[in-house]
Amino acid sequence: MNKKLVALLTVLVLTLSLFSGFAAAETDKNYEFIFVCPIVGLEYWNLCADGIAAADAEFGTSTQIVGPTDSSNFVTEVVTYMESAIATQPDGIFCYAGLESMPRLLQEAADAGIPVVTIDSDCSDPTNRIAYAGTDPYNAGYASGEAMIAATGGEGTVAILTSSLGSEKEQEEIAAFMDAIADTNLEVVVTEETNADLATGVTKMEAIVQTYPDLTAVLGTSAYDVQAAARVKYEYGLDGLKLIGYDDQEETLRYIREGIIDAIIVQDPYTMGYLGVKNLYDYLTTGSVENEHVDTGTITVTIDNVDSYR
Amino acid sequence: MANEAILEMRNITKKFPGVLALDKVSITAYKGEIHALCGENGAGKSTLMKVLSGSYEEGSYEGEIWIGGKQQHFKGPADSEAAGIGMIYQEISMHLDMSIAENLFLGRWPKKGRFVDWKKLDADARKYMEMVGLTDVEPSAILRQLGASQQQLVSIARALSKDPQILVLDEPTSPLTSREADKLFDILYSLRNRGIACILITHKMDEVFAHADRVTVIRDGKSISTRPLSETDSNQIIKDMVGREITNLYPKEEVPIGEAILEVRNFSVPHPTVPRRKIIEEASFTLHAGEILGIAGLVGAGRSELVNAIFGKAAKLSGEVYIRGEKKEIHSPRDAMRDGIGLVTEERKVDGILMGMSIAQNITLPNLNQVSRHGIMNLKKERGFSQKYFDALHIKAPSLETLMQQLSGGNQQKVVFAKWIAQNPLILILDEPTRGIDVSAKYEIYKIMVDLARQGMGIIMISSELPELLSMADRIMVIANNRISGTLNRDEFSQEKIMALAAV
Amino acid sequence: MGRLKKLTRMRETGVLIPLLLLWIVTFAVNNSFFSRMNMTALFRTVSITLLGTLGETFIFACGMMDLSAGSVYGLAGMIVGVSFEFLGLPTPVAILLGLCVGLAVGLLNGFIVNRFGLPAFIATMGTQYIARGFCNVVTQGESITGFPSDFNAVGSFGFFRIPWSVYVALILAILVYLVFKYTTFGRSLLAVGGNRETARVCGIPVKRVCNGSFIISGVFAALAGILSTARLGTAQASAGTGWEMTCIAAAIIGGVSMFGGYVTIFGAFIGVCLMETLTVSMTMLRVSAYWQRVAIGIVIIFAVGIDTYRRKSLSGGR
Repeated sequence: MNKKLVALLTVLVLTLSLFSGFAAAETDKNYEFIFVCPIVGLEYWNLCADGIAAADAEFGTSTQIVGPTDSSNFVTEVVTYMESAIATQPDGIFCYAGLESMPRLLQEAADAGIPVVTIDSDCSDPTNRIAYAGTDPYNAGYASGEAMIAATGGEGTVAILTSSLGSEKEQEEIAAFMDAIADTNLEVVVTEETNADLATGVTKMEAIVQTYPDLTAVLGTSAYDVQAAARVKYEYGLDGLKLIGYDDQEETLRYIREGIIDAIIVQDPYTMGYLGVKNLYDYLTTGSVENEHVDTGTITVTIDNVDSYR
Repeated sequence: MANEAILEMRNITKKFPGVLALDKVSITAYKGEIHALCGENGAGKSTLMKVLSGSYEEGSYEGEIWIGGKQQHFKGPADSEAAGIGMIYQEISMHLDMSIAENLFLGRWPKKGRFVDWKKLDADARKYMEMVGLTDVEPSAILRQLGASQQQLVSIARALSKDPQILVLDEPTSPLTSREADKLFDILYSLRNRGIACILITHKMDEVFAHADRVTVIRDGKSISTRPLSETDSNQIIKDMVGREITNLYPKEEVPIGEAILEVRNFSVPHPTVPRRKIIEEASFTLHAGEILGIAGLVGAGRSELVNAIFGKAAKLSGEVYIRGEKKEIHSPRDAMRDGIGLVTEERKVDGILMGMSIAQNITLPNLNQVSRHGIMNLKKERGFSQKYFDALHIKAPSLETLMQQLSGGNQQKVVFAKWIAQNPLILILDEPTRGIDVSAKYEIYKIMVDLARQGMGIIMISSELPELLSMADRIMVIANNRISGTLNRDEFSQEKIMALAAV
Repeated sequence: MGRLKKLTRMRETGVLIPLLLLWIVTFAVNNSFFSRMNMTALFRTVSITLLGTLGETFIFACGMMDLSAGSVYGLAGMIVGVSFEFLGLPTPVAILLGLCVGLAVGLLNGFIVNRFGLPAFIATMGTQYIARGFCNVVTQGESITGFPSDFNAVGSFGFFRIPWSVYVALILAILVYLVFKYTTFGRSLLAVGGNRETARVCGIPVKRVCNGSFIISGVFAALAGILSTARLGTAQASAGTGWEMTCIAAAIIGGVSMFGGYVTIFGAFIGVCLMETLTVSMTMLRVSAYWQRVAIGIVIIFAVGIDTYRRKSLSGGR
């Protein structure tokens, strides 16, 4: 008698849960997205993750973040992660698209019927993505040029530290920088790669100051580049050297407060993440997006607004 | 035999930096003869053969090579092969992962248009395999799965398939059992009858006298003598090889035999390659102080596996070891050394010596605690320590700092002995101690063995050379069919009895 | 004259020549190459990489390779950072914890290799990923800064305005040389590398010796990471990525045998000097960043080529 009761109850419970599952599915579809991030764990992308989390909470979606954790092989690894993301058939994908191979991958996603949003860096071929949200690298680069002119008065020699000559985004920012300073007396004398490694940046910077003793200023295009330059400036007492950089890591802001770094260009990865989710959600629920191309903008941070810009 | 000469090498001289390897060496081979070439290691035999095979091209040596009355100019091994010279080397140099048929005709596989004609390849292969008596395997069998002796037969078949006029064989019977060796000589006889000249490089006097027609001796890069076998004896040949009279090859002396120092009970050892099989089952024996116990058996019978397991170098399945009556647990070479056992392994190049290190460093390797304190080495003490054994064993080398790779096989083996003797073990196990060593070095090693025995050491000697066992051992234990098939005392020794016990 | 001849026969001359050439050429183009400032900066970097190369030398000596050094370098720095930022520990304790990272990874490497019989290459590749993973997990990828001044002093200058890391590396290099020449441990390492089975048959405790070398390599890599973090003032989660390849390349170029059995401390030092000088020289010679990798590759092949040619001609073409 007892056994029969238990069996009956079990069947009842199972059936009920099945129903609730169905019910939930019908009324409140939980969209599942995948975000293919170029370097998981980097401060910058953590801010992006915060924006994603906020959007997920607001729209009731859930986003899985995947991607490589170090920069040494990230070009090939991002491709692998994209391909497996497409194979998982999520409701939507958003990703960093600043790679040569992206157009092909976006085509694959489109063929599989998955909508794609690009953030931070757009794809060179925008046909297969429904929206882009990110800093326009050109605008960012141009702003860095303007900051450089303000700091140096438009005169002098400039050294550029960049994490990789293969990074499309950084190279576009540099090109914009060059445009901004075109009509001034500023001249770029050397460009060096640092592999986003602080120690390498410091070594390169030390060699640069030995080779170009009258250097006026340094432009660093990725987070650690300007820190490396700041470190060397501080250690060697090169007070006249002007430093312009990107990204607001704690250490960088400290250098700004101490007057060692003159200005940094700060992006808004939080909004990028948020819009990534929102655009996909809008597209899936209404069939279109509010704004196909959003420039999430940059802020030039100097000693004047360092404590108030956020 | 008034045969015509098919091969003449005239006044071959070859120099290396600092060394005159060949000094006007001449050798003539007639059609249809088996010509033995004897000499100690380092005498120049292999250099001479490299000249003949074209490995050393014309111009890198002085002298002439004449085949069939025409002078030859070899720019490489292909020229030598085309002239009708077939070489069979000591070390197998074939593709182990290809089949017998593929190896036999490597580079000249029969083609049907652009594709390999597998059927013809198979048929051709069978023909030559039959010629060498390789009838119990298929041409499609992969070489790696064959035993060493079978692989040797394949390389002989390959040489034959190129239709040579002159066949050169370098120690061909070392991987073969005596039955297979006999078969090989049958093949050589049939070749001889067909007019092919066979040059046989060998150390084994009994082979020379049983099968050869003439013998040439080379010593220190010079040709010393060429004689028909009917006009000479082994003493004369050895004297030519060594340069002095050796009356007694084996310096065996009567040594008083003491009490039992080693007892091995019910030893079982797993098969090294076949899983879940035992290569030695329930073996038990005793060794006494001052005794030389020989272990005989066919290649692959498990002799090395047995002693390796006793020494802790390899794992055993079951069994006990008692030293001077006390049970000992030996699971590693360190344990064995602690309990007073030393092991001279079968292949010193593999696990006996450190090629890139000096004599002194090799001798002290198992004896580091004798030349150091608290982990700090005393290099002066190391020199004195190794000098002692260097002198005692008459090691021939410029200095203690000479690297092992520059020593001859015999001297290398002496270094191996030195490092174990320095341990002053109770028991010394020797696995084929005189393999690949020339006559005078062998003699010295036998003397060392006798000295050690006289000092009360118990010696176990594995050997595949029956004359050596019969002369040096006090008792001979034969391993066959995974067991000790019998033990003979000195008064019962005979080749026939050992072979009978060893036969599978 | 005899002395000069002995010098030319020295094994390390083969790599010393390209190094001196590089120095001379760079100096010719840019005189500030030999300035105090530049030499100090150069040798500071050399000293840190030398620690890693010395560690790899122990591993090479017994015929293995350690790919986890870079991750240990990074993780040690992170642990020091965490000790200060989240645990508020005093400097000596923080440094000790950082060194323990090296010890722990070294023990792990030894365990995997001995227990599971994995080749060292594979095992250390695995620990490389594990340690790097921890680097990222520890602070979610963020870097740590703001170290106490006594720690920063470690990364700075000591007696005669020579960086402390140079003294540390110099002392350790001498110690390592002595270990290989005069200790049974050093002798055992070389024997294991020369022929593992022969060493085992001679009663050398092979597993224990290999474990020891992993521990030493780990601790040296951790020390390098700590010194570098002190020098930079920042613990970066991705610090040291690929660093082990620089150390390994320096060792090989310097003449340490990849297969085991032979080490040269002086050669390792030259190898490190060559690798680090290349980075600096490329800038000072104003080689465009696009061509730098090509140039470095050519110089390395050139250096190894000279070395090989010399060895062949010295040993009589055999």
